[in-house]
Amino acid sequence: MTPPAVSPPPTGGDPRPREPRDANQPPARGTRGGGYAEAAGAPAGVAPASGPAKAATAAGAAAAATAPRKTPAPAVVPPTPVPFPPDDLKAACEALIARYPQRAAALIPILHLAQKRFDGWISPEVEAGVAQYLGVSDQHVRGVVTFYTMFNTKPVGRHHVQVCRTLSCWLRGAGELTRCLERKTGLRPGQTDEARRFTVSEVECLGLCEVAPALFVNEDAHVNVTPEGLEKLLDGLK
Amino acid sequence: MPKITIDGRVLEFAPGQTIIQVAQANGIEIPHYCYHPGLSVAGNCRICMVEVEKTPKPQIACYVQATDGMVVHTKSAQATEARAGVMEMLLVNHPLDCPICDQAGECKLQDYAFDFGHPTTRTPVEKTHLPKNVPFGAKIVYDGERCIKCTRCVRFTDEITQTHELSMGARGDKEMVIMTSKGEFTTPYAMNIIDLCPVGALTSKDFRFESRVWFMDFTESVCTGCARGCNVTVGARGGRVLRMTPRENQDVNRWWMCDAGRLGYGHANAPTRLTTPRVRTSARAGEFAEVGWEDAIDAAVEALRDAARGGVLADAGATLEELFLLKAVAGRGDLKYASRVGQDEDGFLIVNEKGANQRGAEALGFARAAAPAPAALLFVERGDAVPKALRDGADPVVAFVTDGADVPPTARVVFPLPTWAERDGLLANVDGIVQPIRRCRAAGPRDLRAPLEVLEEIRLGLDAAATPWTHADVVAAVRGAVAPAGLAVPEVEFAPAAPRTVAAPASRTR
Amino acid sequence: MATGLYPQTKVLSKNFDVPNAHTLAVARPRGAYQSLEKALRTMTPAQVTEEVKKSRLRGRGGAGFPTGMKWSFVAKNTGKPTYLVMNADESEPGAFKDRYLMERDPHLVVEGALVSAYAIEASAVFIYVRGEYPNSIRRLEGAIAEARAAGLVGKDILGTKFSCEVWVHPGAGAYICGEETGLLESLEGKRGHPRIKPPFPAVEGVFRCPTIINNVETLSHVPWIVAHGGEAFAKQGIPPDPANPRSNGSTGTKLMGVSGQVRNPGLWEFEPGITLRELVYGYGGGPLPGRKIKAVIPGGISMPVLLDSELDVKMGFDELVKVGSGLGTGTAIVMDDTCDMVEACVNIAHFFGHESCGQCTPCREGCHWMEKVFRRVADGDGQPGDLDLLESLFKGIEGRTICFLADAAVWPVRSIVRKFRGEFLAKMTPAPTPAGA
Repeated sequence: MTPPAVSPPPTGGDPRPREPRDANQPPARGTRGGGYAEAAGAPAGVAPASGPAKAATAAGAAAAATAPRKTPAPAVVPPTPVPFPPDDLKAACEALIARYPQRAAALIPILHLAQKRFDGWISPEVEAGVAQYLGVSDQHVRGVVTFYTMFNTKPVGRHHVQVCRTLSCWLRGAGELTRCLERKTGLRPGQTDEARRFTVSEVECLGLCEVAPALFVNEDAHVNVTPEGLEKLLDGLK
Repeated sequence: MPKITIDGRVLEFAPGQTIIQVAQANGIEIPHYCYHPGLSVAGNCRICMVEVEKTPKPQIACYVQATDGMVVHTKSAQATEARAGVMEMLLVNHPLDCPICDQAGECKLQDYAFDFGHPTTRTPVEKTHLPKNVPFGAKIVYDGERCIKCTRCVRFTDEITQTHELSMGARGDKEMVIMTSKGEFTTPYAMNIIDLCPVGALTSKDFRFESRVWFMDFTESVCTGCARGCNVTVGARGGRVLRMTPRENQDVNRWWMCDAGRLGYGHANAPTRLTTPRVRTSARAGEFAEVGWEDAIDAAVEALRDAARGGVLADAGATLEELFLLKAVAGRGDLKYASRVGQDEDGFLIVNEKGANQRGAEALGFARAAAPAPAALLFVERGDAVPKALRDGADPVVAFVTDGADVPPTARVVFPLPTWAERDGLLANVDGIVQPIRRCRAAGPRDLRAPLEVLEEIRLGLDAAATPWTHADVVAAVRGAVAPAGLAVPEVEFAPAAPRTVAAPASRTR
Repeated sequence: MATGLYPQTKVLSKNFDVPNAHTLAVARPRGAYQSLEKALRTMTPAQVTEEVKKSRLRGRGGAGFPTGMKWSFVAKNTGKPTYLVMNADESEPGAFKDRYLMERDPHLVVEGALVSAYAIEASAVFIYVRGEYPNSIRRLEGAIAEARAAGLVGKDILGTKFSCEVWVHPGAGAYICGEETGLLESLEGKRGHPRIKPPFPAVEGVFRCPTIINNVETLSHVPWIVAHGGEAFAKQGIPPDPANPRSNGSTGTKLMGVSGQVRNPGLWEFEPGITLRELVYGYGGGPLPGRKIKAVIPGGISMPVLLDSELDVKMGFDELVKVGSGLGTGTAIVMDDTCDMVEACVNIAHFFGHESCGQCTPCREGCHWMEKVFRRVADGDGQPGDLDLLESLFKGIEGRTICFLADAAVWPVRSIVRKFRGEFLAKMTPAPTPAGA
């Protein structure tokens, strides 16, 4: 049919609605599984061929919408945002924000400050605090944190050893360094020891190609590293 | 007008149109995943690559604008090879779980793989693993492995609802959609992302594992959850409505609908639905006997003739034709309608007025029922649309109700009322646009008769001199009746009335 | 360095070995900000642009686009501010030249930024420095603070009507942010997803304002060009090919480096004209004792490799293209005869898979697929059709995406597969019959 011409409904208007509905969903981290994990995720027998499983009383649309009939999700509490910025970062954060015509542009420099200030990683609580401060959504912050390799999404050790694995360093024996690290610390790339002394990472090019192989311990560059030199270096890190 | 040549056809276009827009407007299909006319162009899926002469590399049809004299090939060796390459890439890490995927049968990944995929697999054995079965709020489930990262869903919450609940997370082949840690959407339109998802990465909890789509019967209709009248496709099987999805109508709902409307079909599947006509058997209220349709119609004619009063109280979800016949049968008295009025109007689609045909009822001379008042005829599809006090006050002689719980105990005759999913008719939406709802063959209990037919038989029974009307006659009469109120009734073809039998579920062994 | 070698020309690197050249106190007496002063007091912005055009300066970030031409694209009279973005996201593996500039002569970098900002009438410069360069960030911020205190940055610079802010913006670990629109997204606080073009940044760049993006080394040339004139710059290096009116040559000087398996990795500055062989064997010191050079990537990881027999090519933009490679960042990576070329492909493909932003299907899925195929060949599990499969993957990835990362992912490994086919076949047992390309 061709309805008579009327003004179309406003688009991109602000349908930002009322209060959030039951915030009882776990965060977007699922179970890793094979191709059939989803089938296992469906409760057996939820859908008899006929019967009341899908039936609702004639309570109407609203009731049906708010009462999902399957797989009630476990209650999950969203992270409590840390108060951000803490007093000692306030001036620095405000100075950063003032540089840009858009507040959100300060996100990456502020995340660097936050990571240093809050134990070397960006926790969901810090994420939420920064998001609130900059007026962006928390998953936007998470999207940024997980895009850039320098932001840690898990707690790291006091000494974060980051071995460059890219071509120039690899040609000069970076692989030896990773093996040496594993021998000395028992850690494979991506791991942190229980005492949180070390985190070991393999990273892509650090731009120290002419003095390869190179690695960072936290922000300090070590160049022309030999396995013997690395052992000594590690022994000195308490 | 400038001209572009696509696959040898010379086509006119308006400056600013992209290749895919010109192609679509002229019936040339260019495959696409990330492109959606209602969203910004992302250009990331790369499946819409076409060959543009004088350009060395294949170009994405969703972004490149048509220019005068441009020559495009969508089926040349370069275009076909580029598309097949993308198709293969998309399947590198996509799980082959089509047998248990809700999207199977309406999946663009399947469709395009069928059209131009590689016949054999060259992909390495180990696929990249990502989170699966991730709840996106209470109504949606996300599968990171099925996801092809087209970002349609993210763009929807950024651009259409502007509620920003989704983003892309991680990067490279670990990229996936992530949701706010608050765990729930604030937009009441979230489930549109399920329809937007070209693959089975976003599925509706409500519909998950309910039915293979190829066993379902689909009918183009209109949502009756509020007076917006969003155009929908109703999916039903075995007497039950299983799903509603929005259908594009640029004048009403563009491509979208709200979640409440989408899920507001519960009363169609209620186990308490009335399925046979009833006639009261004694003076005591509430004592009914089940009778056949013809007996019930005879009893209704008799009861209305006996009754000294007329008047109608109708659910504002009744169609224009139904209201017209209700008026014809019992128009001697007051014509009233009732509807629910919400407080959730948002300037987008949802409106406070929940009566799907409230404008139509007004146009036909019905007035909103303000207080309980007697009426000979009662017509109630949704119990919550017509409050009990009004129903009791109407004290009807003959009632049409959907649910057994709404049967007025003092009525003489009660007809089971098919829901909107099971009726043909016209509704005038909040803007006065008149649109058809259509009978879904696979929905509803067996052997219900359309209220329009029943009312027509009652009308003929009451007035032996009356000329019989077809549905088309009623529509024509309605057209004249509502014109003064500014409602334009379009020409609509309805399927001829047929004996109502429920379509059996399609054979599982097919 | 031994005599008899191709001579160095120290323009950008003149302060590299001067103690404390990163401080204004040392840098200014050595000429820092004199070009800024000259430009602001004696030249119009258009005249600066004209000199840069005359100089035939080409972008030093890898693509070699003529800088003056790029500047002329900037949208004027938009009612919006114009921004200059200095691309210091030097994440191209093998490249480390911009780090030297930022750490050893940050005032040259700041001056280059300011003179260029004046030329395009930008109100602010953002220097996007990769997060892995904490020292560069510290040195630049120190230099900017000193310059600001001396009235060289900020409002009414040197008492003129030209005002310009300079800010350092740190990256956080993403190769793709070296791609100019990925960088802009990152500068706006987002994921570094490159944008579809057009619009080009000169029309709509950062914060939807006209934006010019240039590499650190590129803009560091501008003070010299202002001081000595574009024509003097154009006389250095390799002149344009007179037979080709579109040629721009490789003028001025260029920082060139060598890393990988050589005796003397390092960074030098030359007028283009030195051959890759002189660079690798002369300045780079040649192969490590007892080894032979097998392959060289002339300019950062994303260029096709050249064999030892192909090294007599001049390090110029057009000259390297003619032999099927590219100047890129001008920093060569050397592989010797101990290098397993299949493993090298695994390494390179892993890098690009890791750095793919994930936006476009062919790159997101294809880079890792390539890596997996290389991996199984390296592990001795190669299948007979694998080389053909790889060729078809190269075809399916290159030129099929929004940005050039995908192309860069293909070029080095494709050249290795083609030039070292034997090494791949040797790992497949029984060796399949060679087929295809």
